[in-house]
Amino acid sequence: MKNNWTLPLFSWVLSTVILEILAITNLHTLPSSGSKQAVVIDEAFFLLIYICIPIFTLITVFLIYSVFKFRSKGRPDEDGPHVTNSRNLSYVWVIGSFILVAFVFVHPGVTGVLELRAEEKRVPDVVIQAEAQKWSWKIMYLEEGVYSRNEVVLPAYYNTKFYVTSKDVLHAFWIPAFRVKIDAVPGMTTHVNATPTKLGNFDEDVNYRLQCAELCGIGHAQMSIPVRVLSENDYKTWLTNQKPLR
Amino acid sequence: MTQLKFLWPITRGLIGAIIGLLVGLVVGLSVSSLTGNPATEINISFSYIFALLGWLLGVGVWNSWVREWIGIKPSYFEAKNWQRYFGFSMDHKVIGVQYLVTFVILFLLGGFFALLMRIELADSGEGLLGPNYYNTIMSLHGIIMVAVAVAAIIGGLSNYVLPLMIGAEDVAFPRINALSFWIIPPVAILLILTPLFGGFDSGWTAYPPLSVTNADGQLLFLFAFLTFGLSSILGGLNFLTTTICLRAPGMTWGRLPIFIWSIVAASIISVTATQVVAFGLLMVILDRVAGMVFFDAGLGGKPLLYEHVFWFYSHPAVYIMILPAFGALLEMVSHFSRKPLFGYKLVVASFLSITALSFLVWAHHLFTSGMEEFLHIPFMALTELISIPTGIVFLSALGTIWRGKLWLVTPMLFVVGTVFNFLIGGLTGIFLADVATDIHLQDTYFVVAHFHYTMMGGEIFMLFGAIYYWFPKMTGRLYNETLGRLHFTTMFLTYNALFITMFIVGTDGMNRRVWTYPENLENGNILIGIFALLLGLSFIPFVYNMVVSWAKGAVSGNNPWGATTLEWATDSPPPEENFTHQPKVDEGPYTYGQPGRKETQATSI
Repeated sequence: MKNNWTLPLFSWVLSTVILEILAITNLHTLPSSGSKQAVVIDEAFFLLIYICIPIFTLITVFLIYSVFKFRSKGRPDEDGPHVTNSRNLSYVWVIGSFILVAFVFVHPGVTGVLELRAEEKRVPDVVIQAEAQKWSWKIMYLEEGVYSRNEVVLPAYYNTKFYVTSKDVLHAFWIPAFRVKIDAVPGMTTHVNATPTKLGNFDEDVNYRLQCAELCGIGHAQMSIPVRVLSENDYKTWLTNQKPLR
Repeated sequence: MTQLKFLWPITRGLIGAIIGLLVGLVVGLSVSSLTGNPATEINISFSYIFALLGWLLGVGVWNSWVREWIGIKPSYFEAKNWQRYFGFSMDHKVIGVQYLVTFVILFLLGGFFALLMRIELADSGEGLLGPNYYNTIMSLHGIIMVAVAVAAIIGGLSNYVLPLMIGAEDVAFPRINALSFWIIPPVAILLILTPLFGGFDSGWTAYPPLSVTNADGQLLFLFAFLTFGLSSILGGLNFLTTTICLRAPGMTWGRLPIFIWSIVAASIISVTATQVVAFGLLMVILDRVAGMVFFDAGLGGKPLLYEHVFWFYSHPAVYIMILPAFGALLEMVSHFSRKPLFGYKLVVASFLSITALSFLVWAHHLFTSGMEEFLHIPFMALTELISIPTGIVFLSALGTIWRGKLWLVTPMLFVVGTVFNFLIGGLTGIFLADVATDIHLQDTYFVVAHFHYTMMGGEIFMLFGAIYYWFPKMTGRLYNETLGRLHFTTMFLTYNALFITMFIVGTDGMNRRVWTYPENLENGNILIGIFALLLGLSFIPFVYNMVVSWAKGAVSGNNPWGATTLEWATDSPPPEENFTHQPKVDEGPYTYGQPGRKETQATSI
């Protein structure tokens, strides 16, 4: 009965290698990456994919192999062996899955959280309050004392802290190119950081948009404004042309 | 007239509902004029509560129950044959079929709503529905499918087979069982009526403050959900008590079929978690109707409170959905592999630890909600831990198949398909338990695809597999195998094509719950729409097969599968009292491969 194992184990290794190579070379499902936070999140995403592939192939290969190898033609006329358990296999399985969980929890789990928090703990270079309201955004540049309603403009390479508030119902602040997301909750101020790593704008890349990501009623889908990342000088010029707060 | 006598319970129920509605209107109008509160929602509330009571009293509670309390002899009227299904029957077999048929119809309705959504989404701009109808249809799809997932296996299949599998004559509380089914039609009616009251645009999660401030349709939704929760609690109570008290002689806990263990685990969750969400919903109702301010931030309310309360139920609730599916999967995998279930005790331990852990993971829905950040890492750890007991289900399934004698009939094909689907559902769950990746993926189609992979790919696939499996027991007839395989193949392929595409589109930035989206995502959405249409078509052979086979399929005999559990020891369909003699049990449920094994677990007496 030993030879039952050779073919599936070989297929497992082979299919894992093939899928890993395909994933490393061909997987481009994430939007364009435009911030430091996006780098952390994307790394975690791809690492999880690479970890999941061998688990996926292990179970799929053994499932498909068993179905073909052990199938009867029509109604089986005899029973399979009376095997009710295998203590060793159970130990290996449970301990193995525990090790995997522990690994994934530490990295990318905890490490990812800590990397994102390190960026949040830095003193921000730019402080912006994003106020959500059915169904529009008000982007307030607190230190400069100006605001904008029809777009978010940021300087490249600077750590920007967004304080997010809501005037009515739940909304969520999401910029796909930066990957960052936080809910806007009435009565609370939530916050999120984004550090753009390159210039970019909505006209060239739709992922440069501030999109509401929490269902907020009829206008939810359209509660989206463009995001533009400028060089420092262009940003300063832009600021001088904005309406003052109050 | 006598031929239509079987419709009397429903007619009386409707008359009761109308009387209740009028009484409620009078009460509502007097309350609103006395208190000076705006009348509409107070009227809706009182009318609904009294109409519900009127409906339940009329449909059977009065005749078979309340009369006893005031010293009148209860009157039981039981119609014959198929007409039984229209009355207040207390036979768990009738109630099981009532549940199943109702929820399969609701499933098809929910699927139809999904198709309407896909038609809207075939164009990145405005399409068929427009924003308001889109949100209402999306919300209806959500809540109807959640109800189907919560109740179809546990209320339908386990109602039918649980007493049979443990050798009981019926459930512990037959009248409560009937009540918990007849609570369902008002829920469905309320939900279908919501578009007439302005719809509701807050999804099935109904987060306040939106759900406090939107159209009156929201109130109908809240009452529907609340009522449905009552039915779910009563059902769970019944199954737990039945399993504890009514097992046949010799049916020890260690000899219970694994499906029963999964129902026990799921019932523990239903009786302990459901009232928590009921309270959350009640707070929203009170905010709307009675001017309370639980969720009004301007007056000191806390919108975040609702999210915690809601998910404290709604995450355990996904295990109310999936545990019975695991149970059915492992039940069938043993019978169709002709091998004992691999690691029975380990699986029981896994079910019970999932039950316990399910209460400790809810806040992974709230990583981006603005809750305290120190909660992120503990909830990530607890959520990832639940994959260990879940992994045991895979070990058990593969261990049972290994070196078995596989009989690849339709139910077994569904088992194999479900293992594959749930594998994808489980693995993609890691991306949502991980705080960093969840920040991006939260509220995108990635989440939508993930929970469809677990709830539909896991639970609904198993619902259909189990319907095929127990069909001969319920009807005494065989379904058409070719049509069954056609159903499985088309459903499996189109389902996977649809939701794998959804993962890709979601990762690329497709927001969930939107009717318009950036143009670069249009191709993916059109593809999803085409697969969704094909998936919808795959249910035609199922419906045809069930209807035609029930009417004139070949006679199945008592045990067409040669399975060993107790329900196959009695007739198909079983007699009114389930077993003509009290069955006794002196061995475990899966005796395959034992020399000289009996045909089933039952000892003949």
